[in-house]
Amino acid sequence: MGRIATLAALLMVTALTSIALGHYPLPFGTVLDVLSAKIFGGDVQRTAETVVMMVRLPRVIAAISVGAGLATAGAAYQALFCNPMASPALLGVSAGAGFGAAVALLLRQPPFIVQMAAFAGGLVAVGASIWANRMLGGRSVVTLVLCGMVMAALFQALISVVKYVADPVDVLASITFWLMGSLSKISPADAMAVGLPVLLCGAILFALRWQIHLLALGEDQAIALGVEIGRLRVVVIACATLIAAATVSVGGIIGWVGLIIPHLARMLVGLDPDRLFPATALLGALYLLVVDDLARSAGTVEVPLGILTALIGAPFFLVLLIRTRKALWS
Amino acid sequence: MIRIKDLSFQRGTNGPQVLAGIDLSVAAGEIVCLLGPNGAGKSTLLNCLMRLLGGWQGRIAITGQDIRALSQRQLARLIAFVPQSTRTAFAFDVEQMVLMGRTARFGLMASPRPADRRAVHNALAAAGILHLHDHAFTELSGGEQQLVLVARALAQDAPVIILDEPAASLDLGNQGKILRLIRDLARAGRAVLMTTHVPDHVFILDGTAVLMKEGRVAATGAAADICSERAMTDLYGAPLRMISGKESRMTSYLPTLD
Amino acid sequence: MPDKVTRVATVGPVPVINSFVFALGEAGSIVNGLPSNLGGSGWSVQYLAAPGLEKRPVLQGGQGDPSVEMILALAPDVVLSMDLRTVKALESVGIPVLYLSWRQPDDIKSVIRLLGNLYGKSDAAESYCRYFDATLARVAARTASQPESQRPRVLFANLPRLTQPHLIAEWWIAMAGGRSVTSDDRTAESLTFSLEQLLAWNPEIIIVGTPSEIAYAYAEPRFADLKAVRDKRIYAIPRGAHVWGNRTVEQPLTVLWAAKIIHPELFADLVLEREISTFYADFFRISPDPKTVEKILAGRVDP
Repeated sequence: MGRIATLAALLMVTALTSIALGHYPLPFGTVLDVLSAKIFGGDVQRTAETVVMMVRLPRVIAAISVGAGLATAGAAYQALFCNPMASPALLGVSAGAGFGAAVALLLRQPPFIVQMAAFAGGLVAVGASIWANRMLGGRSVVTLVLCGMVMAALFQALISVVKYVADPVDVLASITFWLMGSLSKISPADAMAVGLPVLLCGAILFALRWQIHLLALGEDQAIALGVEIGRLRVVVIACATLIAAATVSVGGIIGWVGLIIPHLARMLVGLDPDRLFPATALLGALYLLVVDDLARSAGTVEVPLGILTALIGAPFFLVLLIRTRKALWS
Repeated sequence: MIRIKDLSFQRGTNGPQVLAGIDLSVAAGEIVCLLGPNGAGKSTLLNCLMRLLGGWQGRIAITGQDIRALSQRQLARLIAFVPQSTRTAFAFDVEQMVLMGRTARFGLMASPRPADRRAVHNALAAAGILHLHDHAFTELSGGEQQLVLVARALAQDAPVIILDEPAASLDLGNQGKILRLIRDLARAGRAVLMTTHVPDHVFILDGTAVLMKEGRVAATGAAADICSERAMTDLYGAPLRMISGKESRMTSYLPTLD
Repeated sequence: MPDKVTRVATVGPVPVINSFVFALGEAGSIVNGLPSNLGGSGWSVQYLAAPGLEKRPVLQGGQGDPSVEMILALAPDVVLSMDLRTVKALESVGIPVLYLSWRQPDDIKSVIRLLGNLYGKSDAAESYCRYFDATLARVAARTASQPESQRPRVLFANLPRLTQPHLIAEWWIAMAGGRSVTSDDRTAESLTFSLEQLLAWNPEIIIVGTPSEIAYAYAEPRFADLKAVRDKRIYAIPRGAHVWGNRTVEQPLTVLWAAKIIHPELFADLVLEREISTFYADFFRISPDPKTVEKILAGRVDP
């Protein structure tokens, strides 16, 4: 438990620091003033308030939500599919959301419509995977994964089609940039749009942590130990898909979080669900917050978040894998 | 405690009849061993019993309750299953594996309680593997893994225990350990149903033999009565020789090579 | 190069190249139409300057790469291109092509002179260059007295995307007597910035690409504190033969327009409608009606 508490404390400190970071010159004292004025009342300079409350705080909340959400969804999928290499994108939600957004951008829709389209696209892709699995008469998760791969590939191809017909002068650039993942324009509404689904679905997944834990034994033994596997699968896939679709709709496609954070969490706190689920969420939030801080502060131009998570995540994970002594999967 | 009446199962609408009209019962304290050649339907029978397979006809009752009316959790509190082996996606330690047996007992959204952890401890002790509690399950030998699975079934604290070929692929020493545990389970009042390829086990355990062939029950009764040399040869369709020791419990079957 | 040029194909940024051809009075020589992504109701001046343009065959798709076969079928005397790759590709199949290179702001004069040579209309080219220099001098004369540090801070941007899409804007903002907030020694065509940078710059004037962006800027709560929003000094860049904010032969008009909005008090007597009418009459040989002039100045794309 000590480690969980440490993670939580670390997250809070990092969040506060993140609110103090940014291109707009704002002394730390002013940041604190704005925050305390919001809680306890008081007057603050308007631009400072705008920067803190409408630019930075939503972004920090969004980063925490996206990180925690994707990590939790990834952990749940790794248990559900008995596959340590599973990620939230397994059933095609990212590709579908990317397609939805690309079409909306192609039709020059306002940002709100783009988000809705991304969310819808993600749900449609996963729905298509499930439908395809049913058509196949597939009863196990293996066929579901295959259908997911097919749908993901299909929607990726569709994204390429959209890019091809897009006006290269501006639309293509905006599609490409959107797909690379970024939290640069998070508004307070966006932070809500991602924070609420993550909170809700994360809570559901946490509540069912012991049932999900049993899934790692494989379908037959989980059933024999009392898991209502059909129902649990529906709930897990629904929650993970909602989380992933919400994160993609506000932040674009951000990978590597759902895949590696669960492993890091396992390395840190072991496999006990009471510790693993909170640790996964906290670690995911922390990781994405730090990476997003880097994305917006490292240079004068912002680096797309999806690129950074991949550039940092992959080698980091490799190093940890080599150094770890306990083999955490069979 | 287990009462199976007229169980039939057909694979698909036009598939083979895997089980036909099976009648079987296991009382508390009884050990029933299913004997039969490959494909006789032994595993299918177990899968129907644990509701891993649906679409069977007939009636199955555990402690008087029709299993069709039970939820999966309720069923898990009544039946504990020891599979032949298990593959896990992650390297759980022994204690975590055994604790999984308690999941049907604590709340759906709750955490294990102290009583659950005590049950785990007791189960490990009963199986004689307390010293392995923090070892990774995947790093144990086959025999030790089997003991862990039995301990998990013990922790489940169910009146019925089902084992699928519990001593297969174990060395003689571990075979003895497992069989001893099974005997103790029955003595403690549980109903034990197991499948086995080794008729010798029925004799050692002093259990009830149920001979299955082609989806039907060929014979039921005490090992000494049912498992004659002729019956076994018929059952497996191969020439077998029965060797008996001084006590009737020590009986072994060997295939003859001529 | 052929001696007499009567048929010319323009590829790549078609409206830009067309505008140069118009300025030499040779709109009739253009044999191709506007590509799908650079044509339509927002390009009405193009159709005015080159009657029949809408019927002419289109040589390229949205990606900008021209179809070699269609060019061969049209058999123009020469192809005008601003892209080296296209030039090489066309040369390799024996199509005469003229490479127009525009990197520095002054290159606009070398481009028009090159084309003047091509058409044998060097006088017209010089006439344009004189107009170009004279216009810049007019503006400079009035703004020269103001020191750099006191010039108003101007931002040219695509606000929804938080980018400054055209390097040339740094030049014409400076020429118009303003101080571009994005002019930090940049060399890339397009610059991306963050919300916080925008708030830190706090520009006094914002120039955006389309009228809908103006509404967006006023509606967005996070921009409410910007000086440009509070003073209501957000303007859409006009659109003539091309968007005036990008490279186009109408660049002197851009400077005039920008000077008027940046220094309204210094250019109170400047009547943009008259400047536009004169320019289009002298160089494009067209007389757009007042409604069209108004649409040009407002930067609207509706029909």
